[in-house]
Amino acid sequence: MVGWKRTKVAAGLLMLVLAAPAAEAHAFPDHSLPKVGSRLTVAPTRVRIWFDGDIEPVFSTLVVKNAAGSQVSEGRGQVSASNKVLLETKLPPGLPPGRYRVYWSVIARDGHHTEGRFPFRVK
Amino acid sequence: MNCGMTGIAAGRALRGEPGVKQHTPVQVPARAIRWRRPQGGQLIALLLLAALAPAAYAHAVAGMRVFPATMSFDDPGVADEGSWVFSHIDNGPASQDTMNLALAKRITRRFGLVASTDYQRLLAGDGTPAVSGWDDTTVAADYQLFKHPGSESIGMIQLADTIGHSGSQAIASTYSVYTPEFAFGKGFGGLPHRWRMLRPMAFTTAVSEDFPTNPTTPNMLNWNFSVQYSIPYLQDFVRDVGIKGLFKNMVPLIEVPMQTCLDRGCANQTTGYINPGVIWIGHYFQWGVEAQIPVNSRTGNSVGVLVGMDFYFDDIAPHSLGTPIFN
Repeated sequence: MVGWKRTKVAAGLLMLVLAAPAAEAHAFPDHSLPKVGSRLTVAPTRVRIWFDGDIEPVFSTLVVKNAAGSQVSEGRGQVSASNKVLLETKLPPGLPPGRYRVYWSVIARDGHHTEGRFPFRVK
Repeated sequence: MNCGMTGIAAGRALRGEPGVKQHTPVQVPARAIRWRRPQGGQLIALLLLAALAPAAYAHAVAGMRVFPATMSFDDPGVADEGSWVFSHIDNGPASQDTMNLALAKRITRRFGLVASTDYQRLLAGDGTPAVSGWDDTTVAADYQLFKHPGSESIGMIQLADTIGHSGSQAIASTYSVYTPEFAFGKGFGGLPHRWRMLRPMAFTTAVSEDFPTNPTTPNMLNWNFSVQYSIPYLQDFVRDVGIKGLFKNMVPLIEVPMQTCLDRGCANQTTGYINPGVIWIGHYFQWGVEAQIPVNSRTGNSVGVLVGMDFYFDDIAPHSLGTPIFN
C-alpha cells in the first residue's frame, strides 16, 4: 500500500509538470539559406535563418565574416517584421569567392539564449 | 540532468549481500542512481518553492553543444528537470523491472538538489512470487564546476546520499551509501575542417565511488561514459545533409555504465553494460530507448531494454519551476 501511495504522489507530480503553463523554449535553427555547409556557384545577397520559435528582435544578431575574420554583412542583422522566427542580414552584391562563416545569437521569447555558427562557401 | 542511477543496487548484488541477493537473481543493471525517490512532502515543498522563484536559464548546454540527459548515468549539467526511466532485463528464467523517478531543482545558477528513487519488481522465475517495492531514496547536491562555450566542455561535481531504511523492506538497504561524483562532457566541435563530419560527436563521463556505512560492505567504483553523435549539431552547425522531421532531433549514442568492486572479497570484479540507442531531443522533453548488453557473464546473459523520458522544467515553466530559486 505504501508503494501505491508513492506511485500516486509520483503521478501527481507528473500531472503538475504537464499542466504547467506552456512557454516558448530554447530557439534553435530550423533551416537556413544558404544551407549550412553549402557550396554556392552564385554569391548570395543575404543570409536567412528560420528558427523553431519566436525570437526577440532587440537581442538577436546575425553577422557574416569572411575567411580573414572581417565582417562582410550589413549591421547586426534583424528579425523580420512579418515573421518572428526569421533572422536575416544583407550581403554586398558580388561577394567574392571564398569561405564564409555565419555567426548568430538569439534570445527566445522566454529569455533563453542560444548561439551558433556555420560555414558556407562561394566558388 | 540525468536520471540515471549509480549502480548501488548492482553493487549490492556484486557484494553478495544476503538481504539483496536472495531477492535478486538477476544482476541489477549497473545503472546509476543519481536520482531517487522524492518523498511526497519534499516534492510538494520543492514545487512550492520553485513556483515562487524568478526567471533564468538552464540545461546541459556549453556553447553550441547540447548534452542530452543520458539514461544510465549522470550527465554533466545542473538543471531543473524531472525524469522517468524504465528498464527490463532477463537472466535465464529470472527477470527484473525497474522504474526510476527523479527530480532536480536548481537553488542557484550553479547549485542544485536532486531526489530520486526507483520501484523494482524482481521475479525469480522458479515459481516463487515476485518481490517488489521502492528502493531507498537518494538525495544529492550538484555543483556546476565550469562551462566553457568555446571548447564545448562542461563539468559538475555531486555528493549523493542513498538513505538506508528509506525504501520498502523487501528491496531497500539497511545502511546508507555516500557517493561523491565527477561528471564531465566534451564536444568535438573544435575538430579541424577535414574532420568536420565528426564535429557532432561528444563524449561524456561520470566517475564516482560508493562509500557504504556498513563496514562489511565493499566500496564500489562507478565509471560510466557515453559517445554521442548529434544530428541537430550536424544539421545546424556543420552541414545540412537534408535530414528532416523526427530524425533531425535524434542523437544516436552508446552509453557504457560500468561498476568495479574495490575491496572486501570482490575486489576488481567488474559488471556493466554497453547500451546502444537513440535519444530524441524536443523543446520541452526528450525520450530515448537503448538496449542493455551485458559486458560479461558476471553481469548477465540476456539483452535488456531501457526507455525513458526527461522533462525540461526550464522550458516548460521558464518563469517558475524552471528557474533557480536564488537567481
